[in-house]
Amino acid sequence: SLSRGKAEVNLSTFAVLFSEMVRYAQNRSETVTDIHDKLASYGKQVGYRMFDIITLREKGYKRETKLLGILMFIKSTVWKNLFGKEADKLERSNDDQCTYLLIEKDPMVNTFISVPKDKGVLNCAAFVAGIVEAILESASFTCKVTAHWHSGTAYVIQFDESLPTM
Amino acid sequence: MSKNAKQNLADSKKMSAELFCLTYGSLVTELLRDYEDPKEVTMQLDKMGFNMGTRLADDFLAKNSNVPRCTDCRQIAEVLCKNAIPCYLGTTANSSNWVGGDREFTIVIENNPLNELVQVPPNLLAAGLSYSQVIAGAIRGALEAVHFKVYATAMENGANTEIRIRFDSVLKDNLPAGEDD
Repeated sequence: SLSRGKAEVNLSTFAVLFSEMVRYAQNRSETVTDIHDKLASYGKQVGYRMFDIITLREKGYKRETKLLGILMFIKSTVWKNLFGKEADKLERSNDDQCTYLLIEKDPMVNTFISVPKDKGVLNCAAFVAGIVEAILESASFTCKVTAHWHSGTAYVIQFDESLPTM
Repeated sequence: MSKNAKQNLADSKKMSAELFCLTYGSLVTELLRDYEDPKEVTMQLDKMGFNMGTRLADDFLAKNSNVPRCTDCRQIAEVLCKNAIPCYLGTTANSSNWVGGDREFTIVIENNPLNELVQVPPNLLAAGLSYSQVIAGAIRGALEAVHFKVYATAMENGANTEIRIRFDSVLKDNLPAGEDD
């Protein structure tokens, strides 16, 4: 039920499930970009649902309307609900007013995946990027979120230019 | 987390059951989109579960050195219900419905975390989708890793999930050297 929450499962169970999903995505993909897209689409499914649950539980069903507000909400509340801790850093890109970076030293989903050498840019945090994108989308902030290797993993959040910043 | 006080059995890290449940849900959705036939999806879930089970068996045995070697189905069921399922799914389970000289039994999993926040459309169930088949597959995989061949199927039953397990044989041939006692 929605009100219960706080139930927990063993991280190993998630680890093996997630690695099966990565393997499945990999088997059905030609390129690394395809794998990223697939993982992100799995993540989005999770994100849409999680957004409702978290806003209901933690915010009394009031959603954020300020850009900075929703970003902080993701960094702290969402991250705590999903991974049990806050994300490490939130930064705004110097070059581009519409780009924000959410930085996490070691994302949970990457701790148990060893990336093959020939797919060096593969980052399974694309799954988490999908979650973030879906949450921002649900809160009516159109954006594109991608995961990159940059002092750990950085989720690069590229907002639509039509959005008022700050 | 501050002091390592909670290092009891298993000594394992926990994570949000909701993230787990929703992640599994998105996998099933993707499989349904890719395969279209719900029966085929059930088979895929079983395969994935099998792969997961073989790896979880290693994890389980490494972290629970106190679990004895099983010699019959009653013991297998006991370890599954008392140790493995609470450890990996964080919920309780009971064995029942023993038939065929203890070679066939049912494990009832209460509050299956995979079913939290999930409603499976009845038409998919009718067409042969077994939503929690991944658990049955994992049990089959884990037992095969310790040389027991079983058949396992999952059934939803209102609030609970039932896993029907039928013991087939002991896999003697591929016992690695040094494992025999």
